[in-house]
Parts: sequence; structure tokens; C-alpha cells
Amino acid sequence: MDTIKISINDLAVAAKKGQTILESAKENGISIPTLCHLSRLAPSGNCRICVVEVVGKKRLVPACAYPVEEGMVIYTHSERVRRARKTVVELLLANHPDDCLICIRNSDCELLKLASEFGIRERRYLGKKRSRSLDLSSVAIERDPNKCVLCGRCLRACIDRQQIGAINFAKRGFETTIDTAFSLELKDSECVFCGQCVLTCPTGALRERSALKHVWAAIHDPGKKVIALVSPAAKIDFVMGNKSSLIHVEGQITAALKRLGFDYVLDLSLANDIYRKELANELLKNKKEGSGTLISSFCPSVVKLVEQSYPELVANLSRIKSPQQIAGDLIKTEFTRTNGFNPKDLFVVAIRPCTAAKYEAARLEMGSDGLRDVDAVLTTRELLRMLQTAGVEYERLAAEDIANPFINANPFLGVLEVAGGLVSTLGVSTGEDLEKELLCAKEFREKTIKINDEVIHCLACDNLGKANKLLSDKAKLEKLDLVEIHACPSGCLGGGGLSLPGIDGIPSRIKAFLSLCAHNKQKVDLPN
Amino acid sequence: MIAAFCGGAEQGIIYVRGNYDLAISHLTQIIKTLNQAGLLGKNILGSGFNFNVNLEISPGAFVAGEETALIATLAGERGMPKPRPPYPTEMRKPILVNNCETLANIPAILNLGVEKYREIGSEKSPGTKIFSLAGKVRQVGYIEVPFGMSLREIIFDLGGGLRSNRPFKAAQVGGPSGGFLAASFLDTPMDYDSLEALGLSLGSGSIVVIDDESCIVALNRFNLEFMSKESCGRCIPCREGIYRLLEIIDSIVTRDNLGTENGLKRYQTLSQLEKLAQVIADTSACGLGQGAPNPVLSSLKFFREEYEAHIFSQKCPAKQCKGLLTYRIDADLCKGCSVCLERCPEGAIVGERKHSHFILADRCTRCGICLEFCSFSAIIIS
Repeated sequence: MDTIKISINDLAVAAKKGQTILESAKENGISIPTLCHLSRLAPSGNCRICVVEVVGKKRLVPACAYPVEEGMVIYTHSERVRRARKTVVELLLANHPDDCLICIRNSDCELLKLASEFGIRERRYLGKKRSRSLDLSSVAIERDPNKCVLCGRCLRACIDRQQIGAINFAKRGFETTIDTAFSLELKDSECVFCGQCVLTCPTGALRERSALKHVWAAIHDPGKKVIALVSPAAKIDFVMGNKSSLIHVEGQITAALKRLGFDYVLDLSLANDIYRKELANELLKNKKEGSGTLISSFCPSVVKLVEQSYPELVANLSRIKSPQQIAGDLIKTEFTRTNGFNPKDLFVVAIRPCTAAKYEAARLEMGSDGLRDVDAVLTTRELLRMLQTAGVEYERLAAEDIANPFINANPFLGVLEVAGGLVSTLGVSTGEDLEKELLCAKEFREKTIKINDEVIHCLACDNLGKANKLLSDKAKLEKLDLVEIHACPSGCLGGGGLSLPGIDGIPSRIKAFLSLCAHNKQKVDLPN
Repeated sequence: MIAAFCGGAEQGIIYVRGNYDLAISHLTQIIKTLNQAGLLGKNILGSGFNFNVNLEISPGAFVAGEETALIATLAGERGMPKPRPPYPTEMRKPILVNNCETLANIPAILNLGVEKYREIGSEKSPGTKIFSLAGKVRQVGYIEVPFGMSLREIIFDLGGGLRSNRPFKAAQVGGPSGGFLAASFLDTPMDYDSLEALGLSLGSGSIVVIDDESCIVALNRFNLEFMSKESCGRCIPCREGIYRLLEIIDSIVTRDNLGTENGLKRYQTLSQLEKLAQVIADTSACGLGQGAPNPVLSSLKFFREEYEAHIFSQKCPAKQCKGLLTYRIDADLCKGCSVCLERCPEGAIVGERKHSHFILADRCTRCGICLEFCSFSAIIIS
């Protein structure tokens, strides 16, 4: 890469051609504040917080979107720059609700952080504030347009990455807002509840619809047996930023959940195995009957996407419930029978790094005889808050074994929550080559496997942008027997219900996942 | 077509705002005629050069004139500017965006030759410029003059002076984001460099003439209201900042019964207005936000005392800002005919027939209806 010479704050530095000012400043230890910028999204230059002074330019330029040029002389923190940044943040505050004390993001709000960084201690601009109604229509995601700073990160995630486009800018001038098409409620919109927007939101404008109230009520109800169903990806989320090993943290989470008042702590591994086994059967049946490509059904966002945008492919969706729902169903039937419970007294709480799972659990068909398979879904963010409320410091607890009545630990424990996991484990007998096979990090990962001597052409892909490309390519689809699709980047490891700002840690999550596989390698169990 | 030939383009687009019906029907006809004559289309005049022109109707947003926003609307997206660089000419598939006025100069340059063309206009800004004259000038409309002609010549010679026969106060040059030129700058040559030296720009080439009956503060309010509505909402300084400018101006043109504790706040209004306007100009993403504070900044430079009169004396010298006006009835002139009393929509006028009437100041909305109907000039505004 070509190197060019620039000067930042009177310091001669070498920069790479094509870099932005922000990137080369960062490489040289100069941090420029940002708001609308996220390294995984394309720069937009919307918020103007990162503006810097470039000698020879009449106006300040946005560091996040401006490429370095040979001989550029840049000042990142001059008086002019600092005053401009401060004013921009003050303008945002002037149109922001004053409810930091009770805001869900008050411990990690990026706007609050900027206001504190710039030393804003008075309100210089007082005037009209935007006032729009909250959208609490969906069971998965809430929108509070009053807290929105219109940085556009959510819609870049929704439009550019996921290619869903459920939300976009609407109206003009001071009335500008981010809205769904025709201002529909989120539940009626194109939103598939993947929650990637929630992960990008710097304020409390986008957040999951909390189920905490119902869970607490069930825990406090003496007549209810409350069962936690913890997904492996959620456990991996807890391990992040924690020095202990995943195995140890897993035990600590079990202990913590018990202290919270959960009567049983189970995990999803058996349901995962059932899903894979059933899917293999369905695949073979499909192959025999020639009924075309099978599309995986474990991701509720993908199911909704296919239903709303590709109705012609609905018949190709696997008929199997997702592991979460299988587990819920099993608990309400088998588990109740063996333990002599009344299924009505059971309250199943799934804990997952996912917002769409809330939508899935609430779908009409996911229950029978007035019983829900899964009664509530908590994101890992909510569980963290719950632990805080109850004063449970899970990191200091002694690990407890997960008391799983369907005990079935195996190297493929959470494999359905990792992109490529299904395709990788359908044909292999050990976890040996999992590391090599996992993840469709780049584009699509294609693989040919053999089940019962049937040759199966598989393809795995993560993120809905890629999924949209694949699902509209009918010629390509026809050549495939099985398509595994995850809505979120790298699967649930990049899920929309992760602790914030969880998505930047995907590589280390994958590592943690693989170490878990390695640990369980000795207890191999095969689904096929 | 020359630009297309030089740039190697095969497709041209003429972008017209949807409500310009006349321009659209003319252009449609012209493109049809040119196509029939073989001057557009495939293998033009046997040269092997292909060039098609389409007419695209703009959705009609002010910001859609910004080139990246313009391209976005052509692609069916929302008219919002994108960060530059990369400029449209540097993109993977380069796009040249020019005003038709710019392109119209090319044949003149080719026909006259560069030397001859440079003789027209001023040294640094050769050629001619089309101005649109509007406001209180006698002869409104479009004029094409050589660059460098003075504002005085344009307004008083070509425009025939002021329609109202009142003294010239200022001219706003360059559309709603153009700056104001006071009477003392009437001899400024109208070219790019001279205006830039004053911190102004020619912009769209519009010249709005103002006499002493027009209030600069009220005019700025009008400009800001327009800009605030037209902002695409993408960047913070433009979306939030222009609206706050408007709010500050609103506070200037309404009378407030502030106690002494707010005296300091009133004193700070102007510096706040000025500082905010500077930051908006300095940080906004596109020309709309960068230009919107221009009228505020230039009028603060040339007409500061008019702002001060509004703020400190709570008076509008041009008697335009309703919020600061007081209507009263001169008891000596009033004949007690009751016409005003009957017309007043607010019931703010009281009195008996054949006796002088009075206006209740707290009810009066300064709508001016009484002024219109009084036959005895008894309504006094102060």
C-alpha cells in the first residue's frame, strides 16, 4: 500500500493511501470523537462530531469520511474544532429528552459520554423538542424516536448490511425522523426483528422489548416452576471480558440463575441435536421426493423474511421448529410427565442473545392447548440487568453443574448458533475439522456432504444481505439441497440481543466457542 | 453535447423541477425535434458519436440541487447528499453534473475563441452572468450582463431603480442562502472574487432588492424558516442548528416581559446567534447548511444596529415585525365612526359612536385590518 506523508497536530506522520483521517489519526494515537461512525458500517459523515481542521480547506471536514491526501496538514483538536464539536453536541442535547436518570442506556449512552467528554455543563440552547409517540407494537423491539439522534447507524445496518430496509429517514428539516414505510407500526412493517439496529444504536432510541416484568412475576409466584433455557451463544456472551474459561463461567451462570430464583437451569443442546437429526431426515425425504431446496428454519428472522419477501419459497422452509421451541415443547410435555408437574405451572424462559426469539416465542402456532412452548425470552442484556437488580455477582459464585435432564453434552453443543455450524456437522463424525469448516465469514460457504450415501449439496450463509442475494438467485438455489441461513453476522454469536457493544467481539466469541467444542470432544455423540 | 463528446458520455440527463411546466414542455419538444433531426441519438451526423438525452423530473426539494443528492433522487433514493469526496466525477462510473448556465457558455467560448471570450467580463470572472432581479426593483426579471458590472448599474440602470421610490437599503445576492449587501456596497463589481472578498457568493445569481420598509430581521426569519424546512435532516448542525437560529430570531421579534434576571440573556442573544451561525456554516455537510447562515452572518455585519433595536429597544425600525409593534388610535383624529370596531377580528377595539375609540393592547394581534379600513389615518403604529 502506498504511504503518504501528512501532518497531524504538527506531528509528521506516515499514512496509508485510501485511509480516512480518522483511521490514520487513530494509528498515531490520536483519538477523534465520533458518533455516527462504526467501523463495520460505511462512513456517512452524518453527525459532524468528528470534524477536523484541514489547512487550505475553507470548512471543517469529517474525519470519518475524508481520505488523507499527500501533504495534508490536519488539526484534530484546535479551538475552532473543539468549539464546533461542542456546539453540535449541545444542539443534540437541546432536542433530547432529559430522562437520563431513568433511561435504559444511562450506563453506556454514547451521547451522554460525548456530553461529558466535551464538558457541557449548561444548556445554551433551549427550545422546542421533537415529540413523537413510542412504538411499542412489537414484542421484540421498541422504538423511542424522541431519543433518536438520527445518526443513521441503524438504517445502515438495516439497509446496507441486512438489506431489509424496514426503517429509513422520513420527513425533512427539524421534523426529520427515522420511520418505517408509511409510518406503520414495527410489528406490521418489514422488520424481521434481527436486532442488528439495536446493537448499533448509540442511545436508548432502539431497545429490546423487555420481558423482565413477566419473568420476575413468575419467579415470585410460589405456584410456578420457572425454568431457564440457556443458549450456548448467551453463555459465550457472558464469557466476554471475563478472564475465566467458558466452562467455568457456564457453571457460574447456572449458579447465578439458581440464585435469581429459577427452579431449573437447562440448556439447548439436546434440542439442537434433535433439530439436526430431524433436519437430516427431512433432507433425505426431500431428496427422495425431489421437493427441492430445504431452507433451515431455526432462525425466526429468516423465517419471517422468507414469508414476507419470498412467499414462493415458504414450501421450502424446513417444517421443524427451532431448537428453542423444541426445547420448550419437550419441557411442557416430557419433562412435566417424568416429574409429575402440571404443565400449566411451568414457566419457560429462554435466555438468548437474540431479539427475534421473542417474536418467535410469541408466534401463534408456537404453543398448543393454551400453553406456550416458551413463555418468555430474555436477551443477555436483560439477564445482566436482572443480575444487577438482584445483587448477584455471577463472577464471584462457585460454578454449579448444569442439571440437564436431557444431558447430552457434545462438541456440537451450540453449533446451530454459529454460521456454518449446521452444514459443518451434518456429515462429520467428530469435532476435529469443525474449526476448518465453520463460518462463512467471507461470502457463502458451500459444501458437499454425504448422509446415508446420499450426496447433499449444502450452502451456509450469515447476515440477511447475503441471504437476500441467495434467495433471489433461483438458479443457484435449484442446485442446492440444503441452505443454512443465519440473520446475524456469524450467526447468534453476532446476535441482536448481545450485551452492548457485543458485536465487535465476534472473532473472540468464535474462539471461545471452539474452545468449548474442544473441551467436549471426548463425549462425541452423533445425530445421524 | 460538447461536454458529452469531450467526456465520452453516451447518456445525458436534463434535470428539471417538477413544477416548472413551461420548461418541461419546451424541453420535451426540443429533445423530440433534435432526435428527429438526427442531432441526438445514434451516430450523430455520421460522426460515430452516440448521445441520448432524457428529461428527468425532480421531486422538487431545494436540497436536490446538490449534486450527490440529485444523483440519489435519479436512483430513486431519498434526496440526501452523500459525503464528498469521492466527487461524482471521481466515482467508478464518473458523472458530470453542471448547471445549464455553465454548459451554455461552452458554445460561446468555442465560437469566440478563448481570447475574445475573456474580453467580456472582469479579469478573474470572464464571460457573462444571468441574474434574476426581484424584490422592490421596478423592472423584475432575468438579465444577462458581463461579470463585473456594479450592483448600482444593475439595480438603477437596468432595473430602473426602486418601485416604491423609497431609499435603497440592501440587496440579497444569491438566493435564500445569499448574503446582504448594504447601500454602501452598491459599487461592488458583481463577480466571484469581489463578492468572496466580502464573504459572500453569487450563488444562484438572484438579486432581491430591499428598501427601508423591509425589516432585515424579518427577512432573515423568512429565509431561515425556508431553509429549516428544506434541510434534508442528515447532519446535525443543519437540521438542529438552523431551527435554533430560527428560534433565536423568533425570540428577537416577539416582545417578552422579561424580568431583570433575563436581561443578561437578552444581551447574549446576538453573540449566540452569531456563534451558532458560524458553527453551522463551518460544520454542515453540504451547501445547504453551509450557506443557510450566510444571510444572518452578513446582516449581522452590515445591519447589526437593526438587530439591536429589536432586542434592546424592542422596536422594529421598518415596522414589519408584528410582535414588536403597538397599535393605538389617535384620539384627535378618530371620528368615532366604529368601522374599525366592527372589523376588528379580536374585539380589541372599544369605544362609543362619535367618540374616540381605543385599542386594547393585550388583545390586539397587530393584524392591520383597522389600519386598512380607517379613513381618517387615526391608527398609529409605533
